[in-house]
Amino acid sequence: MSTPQPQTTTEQNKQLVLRWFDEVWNQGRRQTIHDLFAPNAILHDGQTHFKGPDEFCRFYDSLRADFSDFRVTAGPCLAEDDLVCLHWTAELHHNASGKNVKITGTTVARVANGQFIKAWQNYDEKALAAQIS
Amino acid sequence: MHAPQAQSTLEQNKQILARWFEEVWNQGHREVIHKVFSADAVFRDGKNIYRGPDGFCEFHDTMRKQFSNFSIKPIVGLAEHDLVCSHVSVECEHIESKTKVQFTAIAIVRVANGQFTEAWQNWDQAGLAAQLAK
Repeated sequence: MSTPQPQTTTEQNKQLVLRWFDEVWNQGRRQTIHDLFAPNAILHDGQTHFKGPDEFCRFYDSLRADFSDFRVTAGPCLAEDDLVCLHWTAELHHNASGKNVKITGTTVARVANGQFIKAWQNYDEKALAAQIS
Repeated sequence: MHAPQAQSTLEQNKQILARWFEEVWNQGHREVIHKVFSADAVFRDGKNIYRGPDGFCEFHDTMRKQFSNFSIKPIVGLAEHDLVCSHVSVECEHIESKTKVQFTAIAIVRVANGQFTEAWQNWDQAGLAAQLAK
């Protein structure tokens, strides 16, 4: 029986971004934001920029106030050096209108020491608004 | 498990995507779409799906009717196996209002034989709409 091979860094980084979406959004574990989003990390989400876990938490809380039943599923995922990219689909429920909506997004993150230190994201914000209007 | 890839394959795939943005959008060479986008390729742009180069040309032509003077610059990119991703900044001009706008986009493409066979894209349409509403 051979010894299990250790995961490569790129595989670990893929697992990190998958863990982020599963725990933060699907399971609603707010603590994971503080575990994975480095104190000085910046997320560039279109024209909006979130610096550090507390700023991201404000975005997270506002989205959680408006939507529930998040189900994010992973699409194509790739990694190279310290970068990882995931295309995802999110299904969620808009509390005020009672509508179920579906959007896609793509996230690129730079990882160091098991945390995100920089990230870039685009998602169908306009399509989301159209589905709940 | 995938066999380790020659660095050149990854670099070649990055170059194909960089060439796509440079030639199709910055230089306006529409014919490059038919060279790089394979006949059966599927392009998923948010919830819209375009099939084959003619399908992509629909998206391209719709954008070109509304916007001009495209300048797309890479921000960050990566590649693995047959996938390549580029996050870019897009500057262009809204023809009707003469408004200069800037937004970001992320594209992932699957490459085979020097052509795109599958692609996924998200871009900041909300940010673009906000700039045009000012």
